[in-house]
Amino acid sequence: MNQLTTTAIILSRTDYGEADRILTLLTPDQGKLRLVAKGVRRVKSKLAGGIELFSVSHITFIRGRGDMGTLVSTRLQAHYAHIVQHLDRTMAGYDLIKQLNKATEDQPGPDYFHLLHQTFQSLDDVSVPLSIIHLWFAMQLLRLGGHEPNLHTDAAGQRLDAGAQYQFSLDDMAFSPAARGRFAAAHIKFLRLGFAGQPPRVLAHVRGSTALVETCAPLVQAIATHVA
Amino acid sequence: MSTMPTPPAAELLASVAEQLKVPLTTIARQAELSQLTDQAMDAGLLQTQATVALTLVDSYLLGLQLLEAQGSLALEPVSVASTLYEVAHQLHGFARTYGVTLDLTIDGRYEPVMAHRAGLCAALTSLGYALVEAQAAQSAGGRRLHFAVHRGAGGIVAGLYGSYESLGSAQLRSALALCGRARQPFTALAATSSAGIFVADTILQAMTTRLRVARHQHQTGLAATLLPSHQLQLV
Amino acid sequence: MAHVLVVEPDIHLARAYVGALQHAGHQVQAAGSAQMAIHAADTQTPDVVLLELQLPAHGGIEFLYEFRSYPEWGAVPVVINSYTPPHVLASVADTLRDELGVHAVLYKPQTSLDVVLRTVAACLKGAA
Repeated sequence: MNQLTTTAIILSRTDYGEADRILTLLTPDQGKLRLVAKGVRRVKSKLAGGIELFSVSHITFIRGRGDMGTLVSTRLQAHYAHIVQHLDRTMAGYDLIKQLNKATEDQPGPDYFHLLHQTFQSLDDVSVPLSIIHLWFAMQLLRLGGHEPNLHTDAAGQRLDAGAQYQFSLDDMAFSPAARGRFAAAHIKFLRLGFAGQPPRVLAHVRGSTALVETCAPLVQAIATHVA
Repeated sequence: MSTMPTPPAAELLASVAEQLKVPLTTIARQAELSQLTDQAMDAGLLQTQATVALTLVDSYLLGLQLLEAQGSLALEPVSVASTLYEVAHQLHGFARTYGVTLDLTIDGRYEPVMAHRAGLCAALTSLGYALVEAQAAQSAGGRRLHFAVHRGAGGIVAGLYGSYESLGSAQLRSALALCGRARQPFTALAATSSAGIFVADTILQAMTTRLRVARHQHQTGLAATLLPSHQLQLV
Repeated sequence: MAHVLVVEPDIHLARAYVGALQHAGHQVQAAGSAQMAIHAADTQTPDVVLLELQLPAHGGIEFLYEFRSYPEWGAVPVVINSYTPPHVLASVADTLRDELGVHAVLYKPQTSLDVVLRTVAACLKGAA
């Protein structure tokens, strides 16, 4: 039997038959895997250690004939324990896993694995505000989905002016000059950092980041809704 | 979430407040149950829980005093053995209500340690409350806790030991750092037990020592290393 | 008469809730941890779960996600009765309700046994 090994992050677990569970896992090199974990539904195995949420594990599995393989073994590589020590960070973690699972219905590349891994690392760092992690995550999903907005020239093709105010056009996916626009240079620089893939802790260190998040988050959400 | 450090006194108050919720909620619900079912209250349990609450309040006040005096705290030679006897005696009734047996082992004779007697007593008592609750909540590992003294590399080690799943040094360090900033800083234990450990550690810090994870006779627990008084005289 | 699963790590509080629920005519199981609660639910599916969130080892939220991942437990009403302060629970109330099927959230230090009993009764009535 051909056994394969990789690192994996669990996305979901569900029942299968009387004694088994199906795990949906995200990997950097095998995309999304659906594996049967045999016998783990026996009473004392539930909620036992092994593959835990908010963890990266080293797994060994066997490919099946269809889209389902069989999990052979797991070894915990990194567990982000601080996440479950905060109720709001725990809930955010589950929510972001669910968002990523939904965003990766087709076979995802390694970028999505690294995105989720970095998300766990950020959630685990209690100095990084949740609002920044949520915003950053939304920006990465847009970036990986090819929906990054134009942050360098305005809708007319002119370079963005550091002294100007702007509003955002969803149709053009770009900023347009507007005397009473909500967005200024600070917002655009902040968005550039996020869309460039800088980690949340970098965004958290930007001066005035709390206020910047308050203005930028609705914009990013509007873009995500527009492209969905 | 704020990234500004919280003053130690505020963290101490938050931890004591968390820990106080348990005995006070227990008293309220037991009184209510007695009215509901028309059965007599378990007076022994109520007395024990009330004593716990009052002791916690006193630990907080003492902790505040020690925090203020930190650096200029007057230490004195204290007998670890007699302190442990006193703490074990105080905790005995409380532990019994949780179905936990407390043992005390003092092998050999130990010289006095330099400590603040009331502070050491309060710290070990707070630790005891926390670990009795935690031991009782565990599904496996029996219901015995063990106060023990032994000689360690850095001095005389006084601690409380039991069978705790997932109790490690990294978890303790992280829990103490997150106390007051995380809803459940020590996931190995229920949140109220974590608070009790923090209270004990804060008091011990004023005596320039800290709680650490330790092992004694195949059991894991939390202990503090205290300096024997004759070593200080040589410095 | 219904079967209630009480998930409460403090044995004295657990006894108080068990006593009150039994007095109200329910059959009750108590579990002190998430693992024990899964084991208890596996032994007998509860009609309602009374859940403290701050549990040792695996927290109440982890328990809830695990519990809900089993289809046979997907519709079991859950009442949270926790030391977690109301303002913290309020921030995640929508997710608790919409995604995890939490029917009510109670702040334990200020919630009487009477309110717990009435909330459990309301859940059972709603589920019937």
